[in-house]
Amino acid sequence: METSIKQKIKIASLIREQLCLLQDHRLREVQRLIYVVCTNLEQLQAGRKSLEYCGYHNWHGAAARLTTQMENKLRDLPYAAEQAQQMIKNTKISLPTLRQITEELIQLQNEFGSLELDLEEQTISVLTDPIELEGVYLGEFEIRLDIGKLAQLRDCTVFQVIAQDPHPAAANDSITHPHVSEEYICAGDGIAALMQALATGRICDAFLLVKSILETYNPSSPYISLDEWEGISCYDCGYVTDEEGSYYCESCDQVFCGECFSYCRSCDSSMCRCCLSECPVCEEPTCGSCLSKCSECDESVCVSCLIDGLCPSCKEEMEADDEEEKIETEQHVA
Amino acid sequence: MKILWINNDGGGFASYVEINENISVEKFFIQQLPGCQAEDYLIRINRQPVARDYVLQDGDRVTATPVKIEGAVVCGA
Repeated sequence: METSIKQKIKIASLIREQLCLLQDHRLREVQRLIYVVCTNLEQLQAGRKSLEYCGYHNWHGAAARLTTQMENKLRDLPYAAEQAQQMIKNTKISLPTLRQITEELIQLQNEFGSLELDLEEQTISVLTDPIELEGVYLGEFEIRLDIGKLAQLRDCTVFQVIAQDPHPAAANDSITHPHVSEEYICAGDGIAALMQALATGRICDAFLLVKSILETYNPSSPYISLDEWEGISCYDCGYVTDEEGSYYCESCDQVFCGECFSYCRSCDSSMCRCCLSECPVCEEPTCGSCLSKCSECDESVCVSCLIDGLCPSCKEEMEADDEEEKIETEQHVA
Repeated sequence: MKILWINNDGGGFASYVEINENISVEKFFIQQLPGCQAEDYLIRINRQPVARDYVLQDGDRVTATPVKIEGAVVCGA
């Protein structure tokens, strides 16, 4: 879609506004971090005076406690100083001009062939070409930048990656790309360059970096690997298998892997393990139809374990009672 | 003469670099990213694609963006 220069300038203006806010935020962060460093130093200074006092009075116990506290402060100090130093470095970025940002948007349109600017939602969107990784077709993706999130630039959630023709992983609908989950990309090796590009207003570079990530497969750290992308997901454990390795349960109308599928030991009917129960007597998997309640204790046992409508325990008890009664009767007669 | 060099590989920092006259973009790339292949990068001069034998001019803006970047599950700024 062709966007007018006027629209580009308006969007460029919004971007510049956000980058100014980002700069303000970073300067406030510098103040906070310097405050932490100064507070630590003040506490060390106070500790030093107290230590001098302890030394004068030979208060060794108090001195030991003080030195422990000071040791902790000294340990924290380099980290706090480094954080402050890094944040100061982050502020030394010259803000791009409106013209420079507009040129970024023009280049963005040229690179992708498509550019959508939404002034109301404050977003910039482009479409990638269809992506296929290692023979797995994933379709086109819309890369969308939320301008409003630039001021708080913390991670790559400023970008959304929306599948236009979703071919998600069989095990999880929300994973439309090995490095995209819930429409958010995980930039991995590209994160530093991406953040730097956004912070300096190099919008086109940022989009190109996202595109590079989408067009690369990292087999050592995907949400779901491409080996397990296509197939049938087990309804119980989520394991992805092919058609040959999956089994249909007529009882619950779902598909399962071999591990989650079994059969009733009484009637040989095949079904998933969830639809089978374990007979408390023989501990064999049994379907609902082959379980019957003991007329005495009401426990459900398999038909093989039921004797005269009783479970073995109740049967034994009944036989023992009968035997006892028989003996009593014989004694009475005698 | 001086050009603006933006390397989007790694930290993605921009810096002004002094270069000799009559240096082609290909030679400049080899100097800045030894061991890397130009084919693995999107190279733009003043936001435009150029031929590898393009001779750099004073004030040119040169960017190199890797075409392959590995994403990962664990990420953070």
